[in-house]
Amino acid sequence: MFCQRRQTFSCVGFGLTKHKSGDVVAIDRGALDKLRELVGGEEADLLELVESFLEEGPPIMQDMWSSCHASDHAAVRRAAHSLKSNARDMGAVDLSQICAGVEARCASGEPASLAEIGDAQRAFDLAITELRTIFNRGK
Amino acid sequence: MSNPGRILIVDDSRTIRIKLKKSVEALGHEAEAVENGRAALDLLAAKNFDLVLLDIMMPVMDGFEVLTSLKTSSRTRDVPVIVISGLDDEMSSVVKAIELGAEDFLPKDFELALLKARISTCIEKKRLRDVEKEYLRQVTKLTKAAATLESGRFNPSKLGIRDVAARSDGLGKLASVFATMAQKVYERERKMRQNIRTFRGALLLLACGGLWGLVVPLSKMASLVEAHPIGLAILIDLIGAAFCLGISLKRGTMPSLSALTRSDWRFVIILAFISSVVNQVLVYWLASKLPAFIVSIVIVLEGFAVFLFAALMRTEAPSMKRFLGLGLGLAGIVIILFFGEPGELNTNWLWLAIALVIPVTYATEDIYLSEFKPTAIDSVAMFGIVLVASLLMLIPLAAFYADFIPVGLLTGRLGIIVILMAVAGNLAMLLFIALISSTGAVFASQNAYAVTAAGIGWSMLLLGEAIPALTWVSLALIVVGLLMVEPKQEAEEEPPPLDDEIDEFVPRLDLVPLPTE
Repeated sequence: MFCQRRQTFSCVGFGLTKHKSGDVVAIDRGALDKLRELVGGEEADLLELVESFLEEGPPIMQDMWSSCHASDHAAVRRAAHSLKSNARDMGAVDLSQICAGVEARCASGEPASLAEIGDAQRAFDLAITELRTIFNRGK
Repeated sequence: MSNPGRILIVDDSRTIRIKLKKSVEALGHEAEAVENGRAALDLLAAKNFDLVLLDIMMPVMDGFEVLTSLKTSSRTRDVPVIVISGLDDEMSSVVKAIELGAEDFLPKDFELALLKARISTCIEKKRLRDVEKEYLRQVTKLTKAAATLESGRFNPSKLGIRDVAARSDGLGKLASVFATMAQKVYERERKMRQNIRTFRGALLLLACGGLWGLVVPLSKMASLVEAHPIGLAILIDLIGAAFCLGISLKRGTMPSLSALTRSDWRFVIILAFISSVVNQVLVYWLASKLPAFIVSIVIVLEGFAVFLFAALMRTEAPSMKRFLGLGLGLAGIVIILFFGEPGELNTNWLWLAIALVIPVTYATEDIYLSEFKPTAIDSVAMFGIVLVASLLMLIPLAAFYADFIPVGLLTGRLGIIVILMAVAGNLAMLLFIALISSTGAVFASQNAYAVTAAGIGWSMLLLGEAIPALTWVSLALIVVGLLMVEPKQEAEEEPPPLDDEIDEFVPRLDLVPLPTE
């Protein structure tokens, strides 16, 4: 079912996925296909992973905000690191790239900016909204 | 998957854990996943794993700390670790992890083929290492067994090399030959030790019997002066108690009476009653009624009674050889009783029947001493306490029967007899305690033969009693019987424990290929 749906999308560059209609989308469905193959090819297993991300993601995002406000760079870095990996698996390329930037900045000793966290939040919201749509998982 | 492994996944992200677990299981392996380093170490301490997939950046305990801990424990240092890392930004962490002992790394966005290749390589290496370790462990076991053999105190069935000998390679052959040789050496040494014990026991037994044999004719001589069996026992126990307690106090081996347990006191009271009140008084009393050599002969039945008691209680192994030995001794006694023309026997059948109680009570004493003697208390001190307890029982008895020896009598011949009886009787008892502790009740009961032989000899010498010629033939039978009843078999030696390192190592033997493979 999902494979049929992905035929209406095409990859147009690293981190940017566009629908044939020209709309920018948050999720690279090719990454989801790869993830499903990786865990054995079962749709149910992929769904379990997506649900885990939908459940685990918001607290991590929240943690990134609170740690940034508290100037706890190490905690910001850990949260960004975790979200980066999960986002990459889910095909949330923009979110993954923004998180990688936050992590790199914290690793170099610089404080993460609230603007960057805001970007991450927007990319995150887009990604989970789209994942919910794809997998019929309402709020 | 022909060779599945058990893999531990450690990552703080639940989604990553699910992804890795499902991927690993899709490849045919078993997987368990935990969320931090502490939980990983706990699980590794409890279960065996073939591989660990370890995230580096984790709260509670990061991947570096887990690696350091794994590599310092002999149990887990050979478990391969693959660190999970992003290739783009964590290369320095990967390098550090490999320096700490990680086998390889896996990018977080790995391909299935790469995961498969890395897991297979690591598990293969781990299994080769397990085979190598198992081989080294068995070589160490064999070396230890050789060292134990050299020390001379070992039990071949407990050398712990049976599994090594089961191997079909050169090491197995070596272990098999070694085990056979060890068995032969063990049998030879065991036999030699048994012979030494028999010889030492026989000497002790003859000394003990020689002294005890003196007691019966001496008590006969005492009864000829004036018969006071209870009074005689009191004086002998009094001298014995003073001697034993004096020695114990001087040697500092006297235990504090408050330190004696309830079972120690029970032992003291029961032994005092059997040994002094019953046995001693009975022998002294019967010595006044029967010829001394007859009493001595009846004592020999003690060995037969002890053997029956020990066999019934299963405290010592009955064997045909031991049974025949005792039977031979008994035959010697029957010859003396029925063909030895002992003269006075014809008129003293009632007293003889009463005298038959002596071997039964002696046997009871032997078994009781053998099985219940407190090992923590010095033998001399314990015997001194037993004699004091005997005195406390005998004095009221003597008062009741008015059986105290008049003081005036002790200044003459009777005094010398009492002193000789005290020295012989108490010394014999101390030797007997040592004998029974080292050789067991059945062998020690052969002391009765020596008592009989010595009693007959002393009776001839001191009392001028005539011994029929056939008695000497009987005594020869008794001696042969004595040699056939060997001391109890020594307990098997416990092997020395293997060293800690070997005990700690628990290989996954189910995963190790057979030696022929």
